[in-house]
Amino acid sequence: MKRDEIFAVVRSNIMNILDDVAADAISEEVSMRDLGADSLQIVEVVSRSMKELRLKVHRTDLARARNLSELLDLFEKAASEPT
Amino acid sequence: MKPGEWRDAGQRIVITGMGAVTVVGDAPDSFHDALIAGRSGITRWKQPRDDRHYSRIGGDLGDFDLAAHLAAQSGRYPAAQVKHCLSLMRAAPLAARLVAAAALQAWHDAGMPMMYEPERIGHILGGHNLNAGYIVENNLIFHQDDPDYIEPLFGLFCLDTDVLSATSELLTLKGPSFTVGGACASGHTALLTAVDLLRAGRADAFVVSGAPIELEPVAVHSWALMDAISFRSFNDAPERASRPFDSLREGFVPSEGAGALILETLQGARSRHARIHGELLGTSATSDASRLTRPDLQGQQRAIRLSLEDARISPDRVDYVNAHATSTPLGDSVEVAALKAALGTHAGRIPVNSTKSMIGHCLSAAAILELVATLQQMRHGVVHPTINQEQPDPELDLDFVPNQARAARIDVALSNSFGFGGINSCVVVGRLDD
Repeated sequence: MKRDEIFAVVRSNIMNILDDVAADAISEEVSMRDLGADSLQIVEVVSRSMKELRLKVHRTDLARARNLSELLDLFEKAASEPT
Repeated sequence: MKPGEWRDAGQRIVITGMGAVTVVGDAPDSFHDALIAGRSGITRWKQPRDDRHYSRIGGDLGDFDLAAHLAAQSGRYPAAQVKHCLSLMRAAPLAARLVAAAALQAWHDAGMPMMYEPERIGHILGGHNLNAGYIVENNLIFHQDDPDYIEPLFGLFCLDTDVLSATSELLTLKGPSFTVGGACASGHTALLTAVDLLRAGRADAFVVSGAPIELEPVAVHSWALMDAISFRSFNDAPERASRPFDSLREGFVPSEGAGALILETLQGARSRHARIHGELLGTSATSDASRLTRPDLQGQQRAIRLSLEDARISPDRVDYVNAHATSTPLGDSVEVAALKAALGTHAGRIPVNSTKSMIGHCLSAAAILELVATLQQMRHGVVHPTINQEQPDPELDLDFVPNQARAARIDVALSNSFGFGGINSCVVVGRLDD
């Protein structure tokens, strides 16, 4: 799965779950906190994206992601691994 | 303090706001109009169910569209509140969405929160097991797919208190707020709790909501196995299934819906010039000390008498009874006997109808919805019919307002609610005597 395909899913969930976030504000450099997300909204975006992409990253690893780029790295890695 | 002595202390409680979302109308006025027209909201289940399930029919609000409902309010609610509501309810199960819709109606109907501080407005929610369907669905995902793919906020939404808290956030309710469970009498037990808290001075006003139990297949099937619901004779004519008091009745018809009321002291309501729908004159709650579903004549009779004592109303002043009347063979018979025992011969002189004949049994939301129906009948001077009265049961000889609405002046109304496990609760409301 390509990185931009993964990003599209994450972006879509961010826009659906967070209030008033413009598509062009969502770049790899920002974190969900930067976009105004609370802790439950972050859980929701990550969980819904993983389910949609049919991949899994352990919660311990997810906690280390400091921005969307690092989240996408984790998702990309998980997508490349056999389940 | 004994029943009724609160009146000496001048603590009179009134209802100033109403909300209702039902299978026949999604606001108090459309709800009332449908009841007066005698329209049933009972249908086949809208989502396909496993053929092994006995139940085919009920009151199904699974397709309730909150966004469309709020959009139809055409500017009655502030845009920011609508946006907040949709954000809060985006992923919430059915009960939270229905309660929010009903509570918003009641809130704006009452002109809230004028004059009151958020810390002095509470929320008592009647109901439990509200998100049972959501819990079942997520258990299936957990066991059949992957534990990590359950709904992300299951840990919040699996709690009944989330239904309460979501609406409390929406309306900024910071006074005493919690859930009260009483099976099918939950709405009345919630009202009783709010009344007592108001009289104790713990708040100035309450939102009292009646929340639905989402009708998931396991519970519904279990009720069929217990022979509690209608599943035999009316699957091809669902609108005929809920037929309280009629000789062909065979069980209750489970249904979804939510109601909400605003309660405050008479003094508070008058000082803010609120429109008053009625006075909450008396409440009661009794237990049969039995876990069974079997209704108990003594328990029901005692609940009716205690509510009248609390109201300081003699039985012959009751103008109308909104019966619990679920359409079960035994339940309806026992309730008629309890009314006769508690009201004497007067029971035969007043209309006694069943809202459930049209909207089915909304379980923990039933009592609040039926009180909305009662207050609307009081306001409009009309009693709605009990529909599907085709073959009268010779044993049941009260005036059930068969099949046709009619004019009636109601100054004092009694509303009954009796739940599984011997939980009985009655409420007496009255036209305000200025």
